[in-house]
Amino acid sequence: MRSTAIDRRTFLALAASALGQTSLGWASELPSQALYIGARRVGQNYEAAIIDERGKDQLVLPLEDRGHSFAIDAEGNRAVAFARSPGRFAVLLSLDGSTEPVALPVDPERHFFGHGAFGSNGRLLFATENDYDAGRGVIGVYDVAGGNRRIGEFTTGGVGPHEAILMPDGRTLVTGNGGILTHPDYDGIDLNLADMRPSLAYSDIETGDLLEVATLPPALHQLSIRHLAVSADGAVWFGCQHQGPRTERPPLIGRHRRGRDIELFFAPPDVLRQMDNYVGSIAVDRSGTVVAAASPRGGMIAYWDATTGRYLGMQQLADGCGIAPLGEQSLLSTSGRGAIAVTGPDRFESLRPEDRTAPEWDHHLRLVI
Amino acid sequence: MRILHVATLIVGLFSSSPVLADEPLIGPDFGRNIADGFAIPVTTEFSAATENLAASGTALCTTPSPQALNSMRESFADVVTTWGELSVLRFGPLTSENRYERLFFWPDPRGVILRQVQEVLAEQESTATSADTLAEKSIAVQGMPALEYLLWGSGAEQLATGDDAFRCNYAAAAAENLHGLAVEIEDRWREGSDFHAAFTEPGPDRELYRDNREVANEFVKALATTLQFTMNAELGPAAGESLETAAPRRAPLWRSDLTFQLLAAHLNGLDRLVAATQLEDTLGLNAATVVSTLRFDLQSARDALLSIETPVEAAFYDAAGWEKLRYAGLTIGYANTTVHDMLTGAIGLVMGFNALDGD
Repeated sequence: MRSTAIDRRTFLALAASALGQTSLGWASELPSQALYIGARRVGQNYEAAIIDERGKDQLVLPLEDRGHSFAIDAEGNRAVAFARSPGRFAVLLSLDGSTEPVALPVDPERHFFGHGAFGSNGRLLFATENDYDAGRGVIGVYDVAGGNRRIGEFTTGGVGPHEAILMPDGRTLVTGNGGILTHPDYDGIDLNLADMRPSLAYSDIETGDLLEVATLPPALHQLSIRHLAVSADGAVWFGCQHQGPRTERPPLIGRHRRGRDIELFFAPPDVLRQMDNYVGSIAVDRSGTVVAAASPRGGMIAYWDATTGRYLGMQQLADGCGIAPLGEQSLLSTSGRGAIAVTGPDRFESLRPEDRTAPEWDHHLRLVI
Repeated sequence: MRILHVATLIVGLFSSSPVLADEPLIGPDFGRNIADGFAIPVTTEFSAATENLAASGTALCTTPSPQALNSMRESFADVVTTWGELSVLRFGPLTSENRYERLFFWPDPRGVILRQVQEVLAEQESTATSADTLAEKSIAVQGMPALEYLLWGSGAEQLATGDDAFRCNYAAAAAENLHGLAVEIEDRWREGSDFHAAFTEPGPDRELYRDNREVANEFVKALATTLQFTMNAELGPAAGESLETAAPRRAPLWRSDLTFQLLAAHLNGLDRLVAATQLEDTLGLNAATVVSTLRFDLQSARDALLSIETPVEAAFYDAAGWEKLRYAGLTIGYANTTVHDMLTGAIGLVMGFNALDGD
């Protein structure tokens, strides 16, 4: 793989220079510089890009193929870029550009789903994977402190695990089991549409034990649970993709607290309709009290109050899907048409309009630090 | 060389987008043309074919004979052809209530159909011998692939002699169940039904389709989904990477030698669907050329499949047969590229980078 690693001094200089240009007209939302990472396509090439809060490039690293999401360690020093599902690569990146990217080993009997998370001490990485011949979801465990080996795996308690994130306790991993059975020999084909059982699963990352599996009512068995975020009060919020016919318009946003039933939250009918049974990513604002769900198919981002579950509003962003915490009631948002914007329940500020020549941002934007 | 894999396509269609064409490029009768020119005829054909199949099943069980078995097999082959064409309408009535999967559970990489059908036979499960109770059982034991096993799989010859009444009654119930589903689909596409009204006269008050762009989006998705399914679920896994790695028993309906007939019917169904839109007559010259190119590729792939004279299993292992399959696969890939890169733009829709299923 070609490397464009730059040294730390150059990187910091670039970062400082970019930040210096953003003072005009910019009401600072954060005392320190926040950085974000996302995957994108530029022409026929794929890359991971770090941008600042104003959407300016800070560091760009090439990827061998289309990326999806990233795991980022607690210090914001390292990230792992995951290939889009059915993914065959995961690359450990040094976010200050100080060392060369390192490809993690790939088990030939597994593929990635595009998401993962670091453990709290940064030594282990947990990735959602498909044990496709057995038709079960697993979390692959990688030692990223010594040797970058794949040291084991544990069950997700379901099939088609998609996003997995670490809970605030630093020990529990929560996984969205989308419920869709796939096999790489049958590219893009759902193998169990009539028999899906999506779930939200909690695992102990020290033992691999499955602690709790929350499920949806049987009538919603085609509502695939895929993307996750944790709000300030510690609840897990998730976004869904409905695999049933378009005559059905189930709620696409849910909340779960350990030991309780899943709660689902509607949007107004026209908003729900525009979301087109598809949420591509979910995030909270910096305060953790506003939940945002992006629907690239609907070209929009919608918001809920994380405490009350009340619907707060929506913003249009064509093919918008990347969303990450920015300030209170605001998120940095990116689109597949090259747009970058600050969005929130009552806010839309374009940082970069959509542009056919601009990089096309992929599904997820992540806050680095 | 791997035959091909066909990528998923999702298009967006929001009129607020500045990159969309200002004027709709499709006529107001777009949905009606599809309904009248293809959907209604093909759902009627499928309903009639399954009715014949059910009648031949009853006849076989009443008076078993080699001729009666042959008659049911021939009726089944007719059902497969009309199904292959109808299956391209993978939205609305065909996808509601899991009708698609109940009619044709596929793919089945783990051999669920064979295992479950053999269990039903071994246990002589009485719920399998009436259409009503069979419909409540696993979808793997009630569709066309299951019935194909009953008619051609191990032990099928006893259907001709009357030595396996259970198997015959199960096959007859499966046929009747298929016909019941066919009638449901026919009814829901019929003039005057809710779905027909929404599809042919979309409007701001309709929940299902608010304008012709949404109808056009359904059309494009139907094309892309069928091409992807034909390639990635039916032909590709059986063809493998090369002649040496071909695995014909991963193809649907290999036992009955109906595989290529099924695949050709998908392509013919797509060609009929595209023809029904009358896009070639209503679009400008450049866009009409895109449609002609697409139709040419669909027809070429169909004809390549139909020209294979070797039995299905042998064709995958035979250099000449595999070459025709490779050609069909390439042509399906061309058709898919045309849909992705040209047809969407030709009718005023926009590709979405982020809207793919499963991400």
